[in-house]
Amino acid sequence: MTPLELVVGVLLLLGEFAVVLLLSPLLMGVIRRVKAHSQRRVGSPLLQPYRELRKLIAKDSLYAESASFVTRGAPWISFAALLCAVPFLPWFFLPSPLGFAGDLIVVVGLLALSRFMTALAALDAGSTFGGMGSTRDMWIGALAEPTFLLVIFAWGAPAGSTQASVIVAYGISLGAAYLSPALLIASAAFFLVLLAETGRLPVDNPATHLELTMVHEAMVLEYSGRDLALIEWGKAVKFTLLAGLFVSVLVPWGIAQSWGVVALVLGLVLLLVKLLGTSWAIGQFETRVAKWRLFRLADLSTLAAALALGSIVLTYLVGVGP
Amino acid sequence: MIYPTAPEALLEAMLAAMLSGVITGLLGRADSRRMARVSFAFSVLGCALMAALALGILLDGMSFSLAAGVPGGTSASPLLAVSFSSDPLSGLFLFLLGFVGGAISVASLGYVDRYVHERPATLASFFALFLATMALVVLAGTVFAFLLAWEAMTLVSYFLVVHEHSAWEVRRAGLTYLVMSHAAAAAILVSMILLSIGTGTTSFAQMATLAGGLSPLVRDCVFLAAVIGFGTKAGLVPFHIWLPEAHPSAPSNVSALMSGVMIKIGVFGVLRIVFQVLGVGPDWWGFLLLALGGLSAIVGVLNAIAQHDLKRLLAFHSVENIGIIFMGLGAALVFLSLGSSVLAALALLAAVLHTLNHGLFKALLFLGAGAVVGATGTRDMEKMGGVVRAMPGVALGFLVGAMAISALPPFNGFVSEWLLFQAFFGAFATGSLSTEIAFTVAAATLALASGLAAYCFVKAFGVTFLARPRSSAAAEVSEDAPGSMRGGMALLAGACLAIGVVPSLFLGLFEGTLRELTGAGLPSYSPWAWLSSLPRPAPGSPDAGGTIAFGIVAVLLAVGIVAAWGFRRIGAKAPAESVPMWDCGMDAPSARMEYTASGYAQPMLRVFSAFYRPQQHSALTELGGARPGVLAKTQEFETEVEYPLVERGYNPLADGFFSLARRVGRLQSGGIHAYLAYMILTLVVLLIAVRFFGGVGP
Repeated sequence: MTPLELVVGVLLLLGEFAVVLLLSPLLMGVIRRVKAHSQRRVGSPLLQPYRELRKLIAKDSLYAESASFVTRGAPWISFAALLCAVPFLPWFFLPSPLGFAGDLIVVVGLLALSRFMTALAALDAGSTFGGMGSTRDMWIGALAEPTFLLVIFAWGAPAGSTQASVIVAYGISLGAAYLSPALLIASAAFFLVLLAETGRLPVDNPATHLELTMVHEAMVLEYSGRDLALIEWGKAVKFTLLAGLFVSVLVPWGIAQSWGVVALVLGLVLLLVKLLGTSWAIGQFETRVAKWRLFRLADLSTLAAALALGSIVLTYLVGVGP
Repeated sequence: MIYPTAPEALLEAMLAAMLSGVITGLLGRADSRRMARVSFAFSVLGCALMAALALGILLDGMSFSLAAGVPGGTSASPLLAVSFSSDPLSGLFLFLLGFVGGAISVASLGYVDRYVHERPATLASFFALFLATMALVVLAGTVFAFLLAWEAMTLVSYFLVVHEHSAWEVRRAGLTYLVMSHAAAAAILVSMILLSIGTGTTSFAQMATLAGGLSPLVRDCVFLAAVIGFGTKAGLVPFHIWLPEAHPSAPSNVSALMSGVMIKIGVFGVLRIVFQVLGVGPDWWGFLLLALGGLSAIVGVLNAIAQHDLKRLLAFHSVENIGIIFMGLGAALVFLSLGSSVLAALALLAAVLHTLNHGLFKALLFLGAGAVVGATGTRDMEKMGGVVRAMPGVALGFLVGAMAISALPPFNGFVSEWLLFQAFFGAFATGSLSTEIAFTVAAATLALASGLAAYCFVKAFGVTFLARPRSSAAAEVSEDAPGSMRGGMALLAGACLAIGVVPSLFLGLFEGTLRELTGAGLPSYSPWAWLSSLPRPAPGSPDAGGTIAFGIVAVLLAVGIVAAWGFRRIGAKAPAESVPMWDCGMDAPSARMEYTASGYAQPMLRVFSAFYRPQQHSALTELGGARPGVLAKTQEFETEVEYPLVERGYNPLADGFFSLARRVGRLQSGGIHAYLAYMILTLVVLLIAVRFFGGVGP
């Protein structure tokens, strides 16, 4: 590796982080805007999430008297765990400079780490709402995790790897034949995982104001100021991570496979289009479903697991694919 | 590494240290705390020597073989041959025993001093003996030596379990443990006798070369008996019922040793008899272990979630983790039967690494639980809470253990589970459809188990350590655990982190075992810590599988944490303020309004109600008056879960044995003449038997 390649590699790595960090609040804004639009409301400006972050950053942090070091440490660790997953996912070019260092199973582990810290912090102050949100969030996460793993196996089995970059490169090389029924079914299962992991409807209503129905919002009631900014930003980053994985595996074409300027710019633009499209679709989807009762979500996760398992059986029983 | 001494000398020094520990514990009065400390110090020394011996065996190629002749000539009684020898497998388990046992011994210095109130010196003495017997089990080279050490280990651990025997539950737990252990010992005896008769030798090394010639039926019987026997010791479902009784009853340092090390001796037994002696078998052996392992993982973790006794919760997690280990063993057996030794080595590496990992973090968790239970005087999590302020050191140690057992990066539990996932993924390289489907389901089971484990440990840590105290006992906790206890926990926590960040530095410990049991070595890796990666060695395709650099993940995490911390701090206006908790505009919430352990578990109880069969009882006393049912004076609500395996499986079995015993008891009339008649009758029967079935020997 020449020094120039090293510099370019580091820059591209930083570019990945920058894209995820800077783009994620916009996606939240798009979803809100799309929802408002389809409900015949004007809605808040597209850049409102950035303004909210700026507002929170300017404010002081307050802690409950009964809170321990867990409350103070959890937001950073939770946020860092999410950031850590960025180089292991496909964004606008391949292969990522650090892509070899982790596969999709690591991503599952990092998401679990992030959730673990938030759920612990929710119990720290001793508020009833915190406990309620904490148990619900861990419950949803525990039920989503097997499906996530099954989807990784379903996506990875034809490519022979659990590495996101290998799966995506395999998809690009295969052309249209890549879009097999098995891939579509597995991706449908992943869409349900995405809804559960990022707390979208029908799993959790991010816009709720009623404590008893909250999941994520109930967990962060005790947070304020920059800590809350980190948590809200983290939530947006988590959505971007999973939405990015979803579109990159489902529609891998356009991701740059060389470090040429034209290819990189094209990849970046296409990534933006794909992510905005996903956000638009989520917004449309959220307008059309109501929040489900908490215990009906077990049906949803069973459905997702069945879809993922069905996809794997389809791949190997029917022999679809190469 | 060059050792200045011969392995025999190390072994003798180790045994001498342990023996000194046993004797010093018995020399003074039973309640002498000073003698207990001296005895535990000898245990620490013995464990250090044991770890040194193990490292010598694993990394330096040391080996020894000590045979003891039976007085009266070995040729006449080959069954009684006794020998102790070393191989990579015994070295690996000796290392586990030496390191984890050593850390627990260090912690015991302070733990027993402060929290054990009954006969500390006796406890210390049996503790040292327990360590020594476990070392002899893993070093045993012949059937007789193995069984002798095994039985000694079981009996000594029984005395440790019933140490606080004034409580009825403790004696009952001890009895369950003793009965189950002896049923297990009987099964092990069957498997070893079948092997000895079939091969004509009692040495494990010679058996391993001859066992291939046994008939398939005998091999199947040996396999099943070994799985039942060693599975019981390990706590495999459905033979696990002793474990959630015995572990909570024992003093916590003993629980740590039993859960961290002793149940692993069951895993060792399976490796010795099934992998080493029997070798490659039909594929249903592997699928059976895989199924039992998956069942144990789910049953263990679901039961753990329903507990509010902290130590019982941890005990059920041992069942879960033994399940994960057996899933790895089963996958390795399947791969062996399919002829892909490289994948078998990967699965076996996951299993043995998880064995070591579970030893580290479970000992850590039991020590942390021991400190909290000792400080608050209760095992009931509903009466804890807020302990983190008085015991930050213990809390931090327990948190590390909780994150490691929940398989979160950057801790060691994640490394072994990642390897196991990769092994399951390897099924797609075998081309066998049944294996692919079975291993995919196994991977989902493992993911579910680790998700549920995270759920359970948020509950366990959150309810025990966080929020405000739920009882006056918890509120009165004023000081952290003794320094030696925190030191022992720090050793274990440091090992959990080190294996999680630079696992490749520790892989050398496993190479010999993998080569011996599967014929293939380690997957390729780079030795340098922060560039390490463990690619799955897929036959044929070089870039298949998954690669990972745990070190890079950890460095990225650290950088992220520092960056987020900087974001949080730099330019912030005022130091963070403490304010009353947000009370939703109502009265300030009291500690009774906090989420409880039972409340936390409720969503799981509801979704898995078919498993738990929760029984709910509620009682309402009314205030009376004109309209009944409106005003309640008091209301009670309780819910409990069933244990159908014990209630409908083991209890009828035990009742059957008791009624059989009563019937047999009628023979004992108490009259001498009747007993004489029995003896004559037995003699006659034996003579007839010799006449018709004998004919062997002169």
